[in-house]
Amino acid sequence: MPIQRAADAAPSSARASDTRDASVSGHLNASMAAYQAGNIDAFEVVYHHLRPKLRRYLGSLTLNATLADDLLQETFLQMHRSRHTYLPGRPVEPWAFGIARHVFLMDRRSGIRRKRDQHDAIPDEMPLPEPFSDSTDRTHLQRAVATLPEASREPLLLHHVWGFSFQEVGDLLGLRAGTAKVRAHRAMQQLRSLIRGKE
Amino acid sequence: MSPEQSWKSLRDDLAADPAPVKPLRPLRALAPWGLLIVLGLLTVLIATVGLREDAASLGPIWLWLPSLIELAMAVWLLAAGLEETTPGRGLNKRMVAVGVGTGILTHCAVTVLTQQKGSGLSTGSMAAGKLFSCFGAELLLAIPILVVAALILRRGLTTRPARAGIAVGIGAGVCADALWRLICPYGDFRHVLSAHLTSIICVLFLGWLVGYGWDRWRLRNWRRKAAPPSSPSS
Repeated sequence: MPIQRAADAAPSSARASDTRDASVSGHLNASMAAYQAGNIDAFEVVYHHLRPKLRRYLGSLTLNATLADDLLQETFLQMHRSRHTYLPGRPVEPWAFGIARHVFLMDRRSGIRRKRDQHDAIPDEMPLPEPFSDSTDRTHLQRAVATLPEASREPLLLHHVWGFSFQEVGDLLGLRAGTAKVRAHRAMQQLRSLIRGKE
Repeated sequence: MSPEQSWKSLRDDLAADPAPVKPLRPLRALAPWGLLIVLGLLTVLIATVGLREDAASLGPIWLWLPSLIELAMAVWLLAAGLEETTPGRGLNKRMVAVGVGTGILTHCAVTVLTQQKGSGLSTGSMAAGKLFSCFGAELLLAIPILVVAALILRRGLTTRPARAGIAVGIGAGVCADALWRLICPYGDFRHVLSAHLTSIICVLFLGWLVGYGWDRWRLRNWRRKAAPPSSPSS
């Protein structure tokens, strides 16, 4: 029962943001400042740090590998066009995730790619919340995460996978911090019941 | 495509526009400019129209305090709306609802207080004329504030323009009311509700309309860019 134990052991207050490496964050901030000053090469540090995270985030939003790749490239282009909106000294990740979410929503609202790509689900790349990340039955868990409603899946992943505080999650999604917390908690409960149902 | 290949391809695109950029100014850096705009509008108003007729009977505290309370509320609302310029930060629906409610309540509370302390002048037979002059004047005062806020929002990457529009709309409306309160001496509720409150609500609606319109325009541009090129007809 490894999955069950992981689900039961999931600490409700698990916050990856506590462990976020301050030196990496400082390096990212410095690279962003250099990039704003016209040094394109400084963006390479930001790119290589953010690329895997944004790719998985977009994958979790779109449930579509091809679309996630397209939107990832568009996100970095949008970051370049809007690089002046990054406020020096502030964390880079909430800003970058905010842009990725904006790109995703604009694409979804435009409705152009919806029909073309709707059946290309990517549970293989679906990130898993922290308590489940070492589980042996990843595929089963990834499918379970993919079946969660989008409104609760997003706060769950932003908090438990990428380590954003609930205040940051709320700011990103346009929700109150309390609402984001409730949704993440409900998603975790749903995930546990989905796992229990399968076993 | 591997991360290295993607980076190379992206780098070529970025190299087309390598110019250094000036980061957006933090809101506290914009505050002196906002104060300057308000002081400018106030000076023009007092110089052209003069202070309200019952300024002497109100005394300096009851003349300036209600306007300062409203101005503080307007600054909070405008700042909340302008937070939307930075992705990853911004307004939630509840904040917008609380902002609109508090803005309107502040206006009503300040009106009741001023009416109790003031000369109790009523528009009476001039109700219709005063309605249009006060409504128009507040609208005229609010529009420059709204335009400046919209330009700041336009410069950023506003992810929820309609929400930001509502916040800066009510902020601009309350700010204009705070200024016009120093001019209009009429405190009867019929006048205040029909002329002053209506103008605040109109500016709120205008802010929402600007935000919504801009969002639709941006979406249309996005569609145009993202749409696959149409194949030539044979």
